[in-house]
Amino acid sequence: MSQYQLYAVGAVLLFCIGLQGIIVCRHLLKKVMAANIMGGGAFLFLISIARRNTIETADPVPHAMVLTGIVIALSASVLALALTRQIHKTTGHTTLEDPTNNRVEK
Amino acid sequence: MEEQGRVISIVLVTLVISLLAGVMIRGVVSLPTDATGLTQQVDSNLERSGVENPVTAVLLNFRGYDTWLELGVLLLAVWGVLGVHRASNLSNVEQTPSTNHSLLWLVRWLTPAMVLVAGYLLWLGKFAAGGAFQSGVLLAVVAVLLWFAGFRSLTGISPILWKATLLVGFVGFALAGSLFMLLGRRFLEFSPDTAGTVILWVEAAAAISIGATFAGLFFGLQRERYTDEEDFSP
Repeated sequence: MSQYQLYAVGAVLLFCIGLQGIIVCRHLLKKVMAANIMGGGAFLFLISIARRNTIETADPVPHAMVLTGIVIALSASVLALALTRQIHKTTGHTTLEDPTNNRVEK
Repeated sequence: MEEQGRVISIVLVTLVISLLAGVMIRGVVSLPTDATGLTQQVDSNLERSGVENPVTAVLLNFRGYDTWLELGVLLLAVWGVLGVHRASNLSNVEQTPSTNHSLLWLVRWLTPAMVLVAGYLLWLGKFAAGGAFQSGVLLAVVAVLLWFAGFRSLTGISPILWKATLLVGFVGFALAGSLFMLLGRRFLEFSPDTAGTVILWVEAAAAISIGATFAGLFFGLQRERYTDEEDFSP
């Protein structure tokens, strides 16, 4: 197994951990963090497959895409955090559970 | 009963995701191991791009739409955060002047140095790793440091000026792209002989916008401080 494959497999695992977190975690803050882990996996995957060749330089196109993606991920996270706070302020909940549900949750 | 249902659903989700991970890992392993991707295409067109760093060439020239629309997404994020707080500018952001003398001293010395480094990174993008993003992030850090030290100069900035700095990257890029349409080229298609200059100007505008956006996002989140009674536990 070559080096790029190791990183790419790690990236896939990170992506799946994040996906699991988004589905399983109820707390919105945890969902935002899980989405960031997923994004980290996607970025790691792109920069690892950019290095599949044996020539000196890596493929610049995935690198440029990751550079763009990091900035987008950061701004999207901030927007998500702002929305989370507003949801908490308005409803008193940090989850998106149905309030008419019988489950007792704060 | 309900807890049991949750455990079952978690187990099911884990199974499905493990399956997905297996499929994706198999896909990764079966990728051709020696592929150069678009490296050759970028290299052969590099001298027509106006810059020497392939990543900058891809970002600002070959895939200009990506970067241009990204600046648009940044604008949307700032509008979103401000909209959530029903605000249109940075006034009323709480800010307490710091009494920490070493912090004040450090910020006074670091600010000019960091602005200088941001300019250097911007210029460096033409040859090596660097460019609008790195430079913009550094500018945002300058703003955040100034805020932490309690300098009022940032939150007192006029709303029109602040909006102009937010917009200059997106609008500047679009204007530069449209300018070449007048010369018979397509949108965002720079002519090889002037591309270097145009890219530097576009990058400078983008760096200012990225810096202002990140700083704005940070200040936007600071608008309402947490109070002790605000319990954020689930």
